Amino acid sequence: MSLSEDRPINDRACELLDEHRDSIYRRTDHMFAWLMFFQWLAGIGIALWVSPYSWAGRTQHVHPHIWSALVIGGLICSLPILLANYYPGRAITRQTIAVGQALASALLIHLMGGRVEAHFHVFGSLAFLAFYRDWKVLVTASLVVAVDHVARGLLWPESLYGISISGWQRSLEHVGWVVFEDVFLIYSTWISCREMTVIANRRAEMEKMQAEVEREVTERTREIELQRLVLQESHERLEQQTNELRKAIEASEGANRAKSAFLANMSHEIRTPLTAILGFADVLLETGDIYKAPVERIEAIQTIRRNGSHLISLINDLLDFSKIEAGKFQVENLPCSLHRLIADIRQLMQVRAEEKKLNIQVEYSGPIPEMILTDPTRLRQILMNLLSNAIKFTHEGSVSLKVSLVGKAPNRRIQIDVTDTGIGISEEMRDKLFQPFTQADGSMSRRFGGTGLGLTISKRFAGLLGGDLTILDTSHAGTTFRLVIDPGPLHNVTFQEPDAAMSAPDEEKSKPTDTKNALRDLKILLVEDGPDNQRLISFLLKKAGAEVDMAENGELGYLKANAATASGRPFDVILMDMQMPIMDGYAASTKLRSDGYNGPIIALTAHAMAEDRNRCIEAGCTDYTTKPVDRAKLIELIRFHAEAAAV
Amino acid sequence: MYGNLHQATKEDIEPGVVSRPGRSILSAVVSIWVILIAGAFTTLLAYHNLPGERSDHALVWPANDSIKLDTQRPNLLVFIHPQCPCSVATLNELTRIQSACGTLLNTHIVFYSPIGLQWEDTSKVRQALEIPHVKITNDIDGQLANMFGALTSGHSLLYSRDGRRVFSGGITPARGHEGENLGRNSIVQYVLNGEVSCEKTNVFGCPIIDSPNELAINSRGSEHVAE
Repeated sequence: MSLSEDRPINDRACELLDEHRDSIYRRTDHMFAWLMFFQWLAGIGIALWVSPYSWAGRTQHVHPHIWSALVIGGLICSLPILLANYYPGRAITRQTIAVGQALASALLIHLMGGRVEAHFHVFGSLAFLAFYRDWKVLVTASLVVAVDHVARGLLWPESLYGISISGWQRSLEHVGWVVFEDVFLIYSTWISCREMTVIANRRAEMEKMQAEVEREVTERTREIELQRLVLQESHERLEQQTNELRKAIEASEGANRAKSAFLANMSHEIRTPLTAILGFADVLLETGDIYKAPVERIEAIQTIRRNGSHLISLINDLLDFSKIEAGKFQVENLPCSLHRLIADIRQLMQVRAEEKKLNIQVEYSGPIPEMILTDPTRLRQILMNLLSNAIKFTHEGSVSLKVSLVGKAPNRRIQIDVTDTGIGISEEMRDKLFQPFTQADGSMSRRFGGTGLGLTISKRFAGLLGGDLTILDTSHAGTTFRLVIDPGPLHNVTFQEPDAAMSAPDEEKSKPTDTKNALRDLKILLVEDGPDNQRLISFLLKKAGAEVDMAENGELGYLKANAATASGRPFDVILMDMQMPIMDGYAASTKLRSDGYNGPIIALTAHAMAEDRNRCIEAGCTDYTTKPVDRAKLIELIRFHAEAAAV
Repeated sequence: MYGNLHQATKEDIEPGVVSRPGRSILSAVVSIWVILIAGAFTTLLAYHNLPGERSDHALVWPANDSIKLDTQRPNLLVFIHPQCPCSVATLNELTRIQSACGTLLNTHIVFYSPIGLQWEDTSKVRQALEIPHVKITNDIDGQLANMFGALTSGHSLLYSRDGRRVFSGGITPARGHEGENLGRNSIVQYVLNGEVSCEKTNVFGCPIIDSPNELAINSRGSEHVAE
């Protein structure tokens, strides 16, 4: 029984000591059983070897020694072996063994003629009996030896000492030696028992400690289990929340995707009619003797065109914003001339500024790199937006751009401060200014127009270009916006001094391309599903001298292109709308390219994002242009690719 | 710390302990066992101390052709059955006598030699040949043994120079036992000092002759008389 915590330690120590002793007694009993059995066999063997027969003249008989070894030896070892087998560990067993072993010594001494060497068996037996660690066993064996020595010493000294002279002194001397050995054996037994006691006490203490530790461990385990359950519950809750969050994210992403898809589709759907509106407005303005038309008509057409343009810019802003919000906006990294870009913008905005009798001043502070690595489209968009706002909110005075290179390598930045002398921005509006759909107040959009997305998009673009857009200063006397962008690596880049930059000639004002007969003798396939766009684009192309064939979807376009190639008169250029029923432009282009068609295919799409262009190129298109189509650009693009293909 | 530890064995409360009647039976069994062993020991000791047969009629050296009386030294005759295991002790004791007496003693070892059996090369004969200053005599059919009255193996007879028997008996303390004994001491004492401390001791060993009475002595030797 193990030690429980509330049980006295001494009781358990006694129990352990008894267990230990019992195991020693049993083990030693079995050892003696085997020893005595082998002693018996050895006795018989020696008797058979030394004196197998006794003789009477010629006649031989089995020697009495054989019977002695068999009978007396058997008698001596029989009971100890039986008790060791049936009652191991019992006091009577070990006492019987002690008597038996002492008698075995007596028999051996006798059979060996009382030789002194045989007496060592007594000492050996006593030492062996000490294995019991029981002094009583030693005393019993010693008593038997003493009685044997005294009795035989007196009655048959020859059998004990090998002399016929009896003497109790010699017996006493022998007994004395036995006692002498007993003293040491009993002392060592006592020491051993004491050590066993110590061990038992320690074991009891260890068990007690173990019980305490086990109790502690059980308690801790229970606590841990509780904590585990709590943790598991938290984990489950967390998992549930994670799942909910994941679902929410998925739903949000789904909504976002739906929104993006909606925006993209809506933008496409709006751009398509706008293409027709703006295109035909241009046609109206450019066809015939427009100067003979009444002023109201011209103004009406211009109003249509202006509102169409505003609608396009609104759609562009919405698309940009939705892309930025979705984190899907990617900027390009192209080399561009900052001077040239700023000069273009100034020239472009100057017309609007002059309408309000404002002047746009550009000032370069210190040398700036001739070429920088950035996304010129987005930079242009930011600057146009800033200048547009500056002109919009300034009634008198000027608008200025101050361009400089700030910071130290390798963290140099292009800094452009756009300053106006306009109405300024109120304090409360400063914080909200870069938030989407925010204008100074509700009347702003009515008074000044705009979507309220311009600055938001510009700030995000500035971030994407490695910089920022901030309000540097604002008051009733005007506002300064600061745009900072990363110019990319500037080693091996030449710098221009301010004077040189200022004296850089303005780009020639782009003249309308002479589109008449620009596409003469070219055979063009227009694959477009919208009837308005079909009419408009085919009108423009035919006006430029091209021979135009049309297909309403990708499949028909594919068949017509193949048929023309097969007839030996392939199309010089295919204009491919990308969003069409039955087979879209992407599939048709891919199919044509897989059939080995190598003529130029120009994609027409209302999806105006950079990735849309990439998608068109991947589908096998040669180039790309957006709707609403820029007539001059489209004609130039067709002519360029037709000539490139002819070469 | 350990003072309170009660060290008594707990056999009384152990499981599987022998019941009171069982213990009584066990005690009785042990007692019987001790008595049986004591009885067997007593029987063994009695056997070991049971002297062999003897005939002390040859008080003077009997005339014979086999062994001559040495008139210059005491004469010792030791009769041995060549197969008797107990006689090893006698020969060892004789070795000790010879060590003490050396050439002062005319020693003969007389080995019983039955007709028809080849007993001239037993371990006892070989042992006897190792003993210094002794003469080996084969006693055909135990004639000399019968003549000198030595009926038990190990019987030793010491005769003076003039042929008187000085000592007759065994030179071992018990059957097959070596060690200090009266026989050996008496012989050595007589040879060295001329004093006799003991004239007779018991002889322990195997009978040399099957049945001494059946042996008739004649001039031609011995023969077995048919019954």
